[in-house]
Amino acid sequence: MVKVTLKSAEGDVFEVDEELALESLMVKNMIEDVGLDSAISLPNVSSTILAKVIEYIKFHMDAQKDGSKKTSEEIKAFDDDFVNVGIPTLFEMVLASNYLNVKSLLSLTCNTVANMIKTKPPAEVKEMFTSAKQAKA
Amino acid sequence: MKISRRWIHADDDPDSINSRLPDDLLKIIFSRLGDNQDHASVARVCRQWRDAESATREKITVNFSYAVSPGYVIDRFGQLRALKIKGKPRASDFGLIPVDWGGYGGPWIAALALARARSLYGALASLHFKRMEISDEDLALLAETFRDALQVLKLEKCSGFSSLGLESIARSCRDLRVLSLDESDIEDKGSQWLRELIHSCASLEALNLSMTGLELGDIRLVEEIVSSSKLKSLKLNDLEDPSRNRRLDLRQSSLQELGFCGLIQVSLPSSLSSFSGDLQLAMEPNLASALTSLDLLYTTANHEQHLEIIKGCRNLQVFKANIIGDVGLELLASHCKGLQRIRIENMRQQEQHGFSISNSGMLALAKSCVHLQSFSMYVHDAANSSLEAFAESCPGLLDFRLGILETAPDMAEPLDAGVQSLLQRCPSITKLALYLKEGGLTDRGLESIGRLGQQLKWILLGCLSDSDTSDRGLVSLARGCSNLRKLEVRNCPFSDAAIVCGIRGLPLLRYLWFQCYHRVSDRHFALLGPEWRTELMPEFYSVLCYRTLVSGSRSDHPPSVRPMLGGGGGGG
Repeated sequence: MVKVTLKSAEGDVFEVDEELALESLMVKNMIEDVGLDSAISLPNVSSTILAKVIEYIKFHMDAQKDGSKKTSEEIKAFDDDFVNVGIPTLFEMVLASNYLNVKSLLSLTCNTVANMIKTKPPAEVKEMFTSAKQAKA
Repeated sequence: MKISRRWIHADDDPDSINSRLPDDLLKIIFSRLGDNQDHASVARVCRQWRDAESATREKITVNFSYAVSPGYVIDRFGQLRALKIKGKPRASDFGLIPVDWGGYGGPWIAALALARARSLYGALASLHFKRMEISDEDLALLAETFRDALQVLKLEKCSGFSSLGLESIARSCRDLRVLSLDESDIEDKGSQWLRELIHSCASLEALNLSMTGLELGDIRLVEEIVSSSKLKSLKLNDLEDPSRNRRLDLRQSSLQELGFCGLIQVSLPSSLSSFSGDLQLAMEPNLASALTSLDLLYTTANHEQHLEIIKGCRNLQVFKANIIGDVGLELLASHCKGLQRIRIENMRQQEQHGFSISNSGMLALAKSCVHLQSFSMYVHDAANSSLEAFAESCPGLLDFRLGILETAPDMAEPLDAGVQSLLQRCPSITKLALYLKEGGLTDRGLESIGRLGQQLKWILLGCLSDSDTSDRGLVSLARGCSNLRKLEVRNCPFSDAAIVCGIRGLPLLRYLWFQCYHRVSDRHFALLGPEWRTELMPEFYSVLCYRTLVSGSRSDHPPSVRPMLGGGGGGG
């Protein structure tokens, strides 16, 4: 199996299967442009977030493979758990999935933010995103 | 230069978490939100979110036409696809404000035309005006401005126009899918407009002329409308068959929704799922069981016929009528367990026919119809047991309106405990109307609404008595209902001072209408902030207060409406 080397903002190196790397349309384009010889530098994605994105893609690739025994409930449980993070991390994931162009993850993370807002009173929404700021600071 | 506080507000800090997401990602997120309320929430988070939200909002409702200027809406929301504007207070339905009160659509339509001339609003396809004054000239301008772009036009409970205005619309707006003139007061200048509509609007799917004053005359015109379009919904005014022997044959149509009044013979299509109007006709059993919505508010059917009709229907989700009485309600409860909305109205008919509803009818309904979301009913008597039963079995209630008939005796017990249970166990109720009688609710009930009613957005209180309720009750109600948007109070013993004191503490309240029989003092209303306006209508014993972004008081009011000094009403 051909491997692709991804380099995070901090310079950490992640070696992944080419098949997995191609799930990011951005990485796919880079490979088409510069080939597989050198590491693909992703200066906009931190190591923590890149590790999460890889985890997400890997899980869903496995779940889609023939012979996978994952039920739709299990997949949903993984997704729910995956986005069960603080607002700062969630926003990082929205940014990363947009930058890396991973459509399903962008959709999942954007829906999660929207669902956090839905039906809540305005004051609570404001509070939620203001306290997220404090948590980060 | 003076810098407004808003520019240096911490929320606009460029390092804040909110500003981490660029506009294009915010737009993706905002496009996945639900109703307008969600959109309003995100607009309040920070400046960047507000601007991004403005650019993505596709539909808005202006809940009160004087609350903002048309220019403000157009400048802030440039990409609208659908706009709904509400004008006159609801009290106008009951003749409780002057007919010439205001609520003119002209300035809105003129502003939309200007915006269109600036190439804005190219995607605006749906316009809905409710309780507004609209002229034929307004409609002509609308038709000329939007032409084929307009797909949905609703003029609900509007007045001031004639069938000539509709003719301009029919001639220019050829892509109209929905034309609804529900309960509008329209001057009938002949059916030429309808012929124009049939001729030019091939994509018409819904036409609503119910309670409009527009006569269709010959039923052959109905057949013509139905056969020349792909109508799915048709609601008409009174129908007549001068020859008295023609049968209106709609079997070949694909109508899902039909409404009309008048004693004519009709063959209904099998696609029908909703009927309103005069159901004296015998309905085939399979047609009746396919109905999910039945509106008998304007039927001439008698009580027996009502019962017969209900017996045939097993799948109703929506039911409206006047004279079904307890027997009818019990029948409905046993036959239509999937009922979601019920409305029983017209007190006069109930009283005349002696088929009013009592607590036992309500009890039967509450126990069987567990999917009920909307309950609106005038009854002869009500007790805590039925309210508690609703609380127990109908957790999905969104809207609960209970009125006691005028001729009913004073109430045997206050509904304090029942109202408390409802609010405790039905967390989704956002609209609550209690139009009661002497003894119906006490200060304790008002206090529990305040304690448990954080979810309430609209409250109507009517005919509470001064021996049971006081200013203190109203103030404690207002203290807790922090999400209240609209408050209407009719014939209750509360003083101006208490009403003002109550609403000053409500951050989201934007509208108050009340009727009172004492002299109202300017002094109290001046205490409302500068964003409030107060209008007195002494001949109608009515007072209207509303919050607005527009400076100064409106100039289009008739002499019978007196803007009050102070607050902001004096123009300062």
